[in-house]
Amino acid sequence: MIWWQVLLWALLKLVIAVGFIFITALVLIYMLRKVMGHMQYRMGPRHHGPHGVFQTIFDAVKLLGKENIIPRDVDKWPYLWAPVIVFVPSLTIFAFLPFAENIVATNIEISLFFVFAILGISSISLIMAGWGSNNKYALLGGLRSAAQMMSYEIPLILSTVGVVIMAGSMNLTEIVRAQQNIYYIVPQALGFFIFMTSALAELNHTPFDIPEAESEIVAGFNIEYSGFRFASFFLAEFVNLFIVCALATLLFLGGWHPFTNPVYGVLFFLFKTYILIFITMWIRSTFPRFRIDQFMNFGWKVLLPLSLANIFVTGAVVLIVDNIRGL
Amino acid sequence: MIGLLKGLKTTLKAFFTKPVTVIYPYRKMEVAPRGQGLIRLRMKQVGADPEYKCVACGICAKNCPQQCITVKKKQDEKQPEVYQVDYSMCIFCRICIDSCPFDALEQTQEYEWVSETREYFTRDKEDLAMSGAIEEVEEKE
Repeated sequence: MIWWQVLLWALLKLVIAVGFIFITALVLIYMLRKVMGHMQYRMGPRHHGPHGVFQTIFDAVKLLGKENIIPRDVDKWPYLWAPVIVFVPSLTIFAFLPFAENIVATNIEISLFFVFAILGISSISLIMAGWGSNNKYALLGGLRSAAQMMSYEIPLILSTVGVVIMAGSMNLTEIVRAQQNIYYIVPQALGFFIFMTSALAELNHTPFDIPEAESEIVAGFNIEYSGFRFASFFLAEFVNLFIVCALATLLFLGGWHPFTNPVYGVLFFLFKTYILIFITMWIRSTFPRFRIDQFMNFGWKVLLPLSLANIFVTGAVVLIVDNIRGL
Repeated sequence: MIGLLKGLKTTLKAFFTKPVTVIYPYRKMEVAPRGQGLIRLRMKQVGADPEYKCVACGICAKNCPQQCITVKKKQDEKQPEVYQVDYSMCIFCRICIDSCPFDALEQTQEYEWVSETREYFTRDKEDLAMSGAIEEVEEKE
């Protein structure tokens, strides 16, 4: 009697997680179009539904209905599996993100480390897409994207080491609990800045979106994908945006902090995450994009030394403060 | 760095400003008084019936860079028998209006003309005279 209950409960959690992810992606796409529109003195979508809320659903349905084109000389396995694999890290990471005090699908002691380990898998799917498309622009876009993602993963992870030193644990729930007195954005302001910048680069987001810039390299690795495969890359980008902003909220902004009640905790956590997402879209509407050599320079020569300095200073201060307390 | 923050401030201010979009089919922008749209044959009032000022000399057809005007007349007549403008080719350069020695053409403010067939875009002299709301009628001598 009990084994099928366990199975059903697991399936239910899975359905809720996947449903939440897709709804989030749709909401984020709509939010991006509206926010970017209003920042450019125009409105976003208006027609379908009140203020255009159904626009994204209609777009998704339209993409589903497109013809299934597979170009002639593509490399079948990378080409066909890349849109599937791009979703895998996003779905898996959702299992480890805590939304409120005890609302987390799986709570392990090193959840932060595990999240970053899985996030690195997304770069392989872009290489697969770029290579398998049999198109030199796709290949260029895919390789640039892989280089960019790999070089910005290092400052991304190192900027969170300061938080881990201060919190004393890698468990995301513990990190949020350790921010009772002060949110880590205050002592770790440099870490927060490095984290957000590296996250934008990690997601191929403006101002770092050379690999998929529409006006430069004609959509980069996306170029040979149409219909639902394109929708898959597109949705995965927005789901990853949500994940990264959720991580930033948990690590630097105190997660669900004042509210221990699960409902209010989840809502406040989502509120903070959406503020960070708004800031990302604000940056997206404002800045032109970097050239590829400019942002590789920025990553290796500026962000990496800064993040190492951040770890050094944080470690030194924590050591000194602990010794003073111990005295 | 300061420049980046100034840019962010500009965008944020734009976010809270009312958009300048005019929701097109429901509201339309005001058109300038000088016409920008279709070409129209002018009429004049001589005697009882209005006539075209056009005498079918063909100068507009010869000067048109797109060669989209067709003018034909019967012998010894001073009115065009066939006067057609093909609007799928017209570029609205106003050369026909400027080169007409009889001042027989003018430009209207019509800019909304869509159709599902190509034949719609070849306008005859009747359409050209009657297009638009205002018909200029002048007394001659």
